[in-house]
Amino acid sequence: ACGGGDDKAPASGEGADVPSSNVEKKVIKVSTKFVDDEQTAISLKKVVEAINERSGGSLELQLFTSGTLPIGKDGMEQIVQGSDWILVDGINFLGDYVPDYNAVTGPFLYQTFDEYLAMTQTDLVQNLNRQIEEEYGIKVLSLDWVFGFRSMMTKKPIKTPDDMKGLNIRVPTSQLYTYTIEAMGGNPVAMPYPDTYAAIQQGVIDGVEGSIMTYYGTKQYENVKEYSITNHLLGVSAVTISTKLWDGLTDEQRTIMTEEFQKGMEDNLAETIKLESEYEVLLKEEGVNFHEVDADAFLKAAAPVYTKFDKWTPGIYEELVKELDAIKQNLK
Amino acid sequence: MNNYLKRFGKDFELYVGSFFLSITSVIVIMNVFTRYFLKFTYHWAEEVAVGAFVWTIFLGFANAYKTKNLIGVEVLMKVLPEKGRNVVEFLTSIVVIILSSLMFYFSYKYVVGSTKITAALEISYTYIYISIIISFALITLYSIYFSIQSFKKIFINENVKN
Amino acid sequence: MESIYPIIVLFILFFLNIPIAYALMGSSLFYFIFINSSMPMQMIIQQFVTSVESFPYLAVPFFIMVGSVMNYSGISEALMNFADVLVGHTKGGLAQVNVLLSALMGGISGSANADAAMQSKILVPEMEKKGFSKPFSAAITAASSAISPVIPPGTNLILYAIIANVSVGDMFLAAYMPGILMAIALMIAVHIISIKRDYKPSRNKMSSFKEIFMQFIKSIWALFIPFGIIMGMRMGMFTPTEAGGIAVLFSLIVGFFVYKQLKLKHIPLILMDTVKGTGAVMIIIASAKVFGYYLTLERIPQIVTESLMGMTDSAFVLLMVINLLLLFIGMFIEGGAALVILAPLLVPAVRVFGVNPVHFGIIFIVNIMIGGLTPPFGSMMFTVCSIVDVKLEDFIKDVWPFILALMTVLILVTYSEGVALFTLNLFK
Ligand code: NA
Ligand code: NA
Repeated sequence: ACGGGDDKAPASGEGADVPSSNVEKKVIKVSTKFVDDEQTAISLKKVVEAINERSGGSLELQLFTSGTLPIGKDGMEQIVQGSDWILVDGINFLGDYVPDYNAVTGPFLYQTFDEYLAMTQTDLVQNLNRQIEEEYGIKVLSLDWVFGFRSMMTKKPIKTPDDMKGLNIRVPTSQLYTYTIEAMGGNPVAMPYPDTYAAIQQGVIDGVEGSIMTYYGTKQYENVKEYSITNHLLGVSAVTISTKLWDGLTDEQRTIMTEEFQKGMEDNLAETIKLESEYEVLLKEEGVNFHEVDADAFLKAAAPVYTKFDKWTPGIYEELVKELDAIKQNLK
Repeated sequence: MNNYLKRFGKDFELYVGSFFLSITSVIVIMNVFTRYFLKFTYHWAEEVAVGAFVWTIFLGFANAYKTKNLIGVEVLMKVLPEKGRNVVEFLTSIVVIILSSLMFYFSYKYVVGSTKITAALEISYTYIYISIIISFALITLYSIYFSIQSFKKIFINENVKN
Repeated sequence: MESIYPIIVLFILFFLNIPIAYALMGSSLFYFIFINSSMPMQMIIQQFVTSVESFPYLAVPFFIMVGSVMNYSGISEALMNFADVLVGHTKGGLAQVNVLLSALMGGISGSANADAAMQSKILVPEMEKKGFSKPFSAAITAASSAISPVIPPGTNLILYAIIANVSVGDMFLAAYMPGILMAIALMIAVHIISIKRDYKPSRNKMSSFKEIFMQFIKSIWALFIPFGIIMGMRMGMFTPTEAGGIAVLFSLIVGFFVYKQLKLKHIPLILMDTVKGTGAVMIIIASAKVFGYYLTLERIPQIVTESLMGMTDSAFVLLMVINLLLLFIGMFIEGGAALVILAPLLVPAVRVFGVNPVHFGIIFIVNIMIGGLTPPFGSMMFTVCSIVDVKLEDFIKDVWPFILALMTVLILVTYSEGVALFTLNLFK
């Protein structure tokens, strides 16, 4: 078609299938709250590089970490309004639109990452994904970017809900955390996390809750030595993209993105598990004791939390427990 | 009575803004007291305080423009003769008309399409963000008025009271 | 190349005397409409409005309000009388009172222009009666007004802390030292000039301990406000925002019931003053946020950092270059505006050079305060000269020794982190 003998010119100029190298480059911003040396950001960086490379220049994903671009509610709104945008942030921001997402990540459901990962594949959760896509134009690429369970770090070991009686536990200012600690039997005290170190020493609180990484990173082990693995809440991010943007991509581009985000999720999961066991060793060296808890007793105790949110579907707790029983059977 | 109405017209953004500022102040002070003496805080306190603060800002902004209290770089105004200053003032108002009406249009589109709900009360952010639409609508009107005034000063040479 | 057009547009709009907030909005809209249209425009509005929806920023209206309450409540007079018993007997007594008063008022309010305006009206006529020349009185009033925003609380300290992502409490605690140094430097300069020109004391002899103590008791409520702010934050009793709220409440109580000058009819005036002041300050922050969004997307801060690193690898040289740049810009642009535009560009760079961001904040804020005194367009200079009615030429002849004194402090805090962060390390 091009007259001259330029072999670099694409051969199939008039074909219906335009090769990806001819498509105008699509620039997509990827926004996340995680800072560069956190695992989620490290894995995301690999995903972005792989996608840009595999797409042969038809896609250019640009990663912005540390919340330099809008995250949270604002990031989600960028997606709803159709920006060229991918958000990697908490599942609770999906819960603003379809509240049952919050129930899926509610307290005490999971004791292992595998249980949660199986839950996101159930019809129950897949239907939520369908609903949020149809009603709000939010396409969920993944719900599976985990970054650790939250457990109790206190002055005394905790095995059952009875052990929580009378303990003042710091929580972030969030209804879900407040209700969860109450249901567990403790007294929630809302304060900024940086104040907790002194607050424990002064006896204002008896402990904090959080991930093993936070526990080590903020040197709380100097104050409280008992780490009880309640796994009461799961830290996990969703990867979401605007449906408008997604529908405008070619099949090939969609395949590349789906596959690479899946790989990245697996990388993030493997690294997170590895890091957690490394931190466990470090903490044991500091004289920290780890305790297993009666998980079933806590799951039962947490049931009232699931009735406190008007917007959650009634009976969602029973449905989740039913799915979970099936999952646990399968995993055995 | 007429005098009161005039004063209200001149400063009504400040009257309404004072109402919102009072809400913010009372809530923040109350928060310290409930925390220390009653050992609890209302979970909606911070959210309502910040929401009223946004209203305060955008009403104060509109009034600050109207009363020429917005900070600018005054190099040119200090070196130009009066005729030149009037021309610059005219240009300035035109630029502000364009920018304010753009901002008005975009904020209207944003607020109409906004889906965010607040964290504590889970109500629509629209109740907070309407303030920005109102603010830019007012400033568009004020800047049109100012541009007509400086236009008269330049071409009709009429003595217009500012 | 396209990526710097918005900066050019910004300076054109500045030059046309467009309000700074509108200049920032205009150049940002230019970018998002003509250069990078990948973002729906309404999302720019989202960034504009969410930037001010932050609890720490609530400290801004509170400290503006405290400053306004102070003017109606008799607190200013109580502080002035206290300053007078302390330093009134020295050579150039009222000039020393002028400096000390700005430091004391700085502990309560945070606006240099308000400080300069008030003292131009109250102190300058008194100084003239005592034989001080008009330009000298104007010069020391303007120069000392640079102290009040540096001594906490101060709007610029809050803005910087939020932009640089450091704790507002740390910025507050650190800023006492440079504020005190500025006062000392100016008092030394006043002393030397007063001896040369034989400026008289305002009181015949040194106050007795009893006199000082009696005045201290009368002024104690006013003096308690800054003390309460420090202690409340130091002990973690409340956040800087809440400290602002409590300071408002406390100054109202003192004005109503202790000095009894504050009346109910003043309340609407105070609220309305505050609304207008808050709008004018916060709108610059909102607009600067959108402009900052353009800078982030074009990765301009990284480019600035890299080019600075290409120039030098010494923090010493870097800080000197930045100081000169800021002094130059400060001649034309109001300090707070320079802060919200330049801090996002410079803080990432100085971090790479290993400069503590709180230390850099101190340098930044002392520097831009000096900018308010320098010709051709210093804001405090204009405030004082227009109220006192002094010619700029005469003002400049008398203000330069004070600028020199403040520059000494700037050099000291720039090159000694230990000095700059002395009070932070002491209280923390
Ligand atoms: Na002064
Ligand atoms: Na101050």
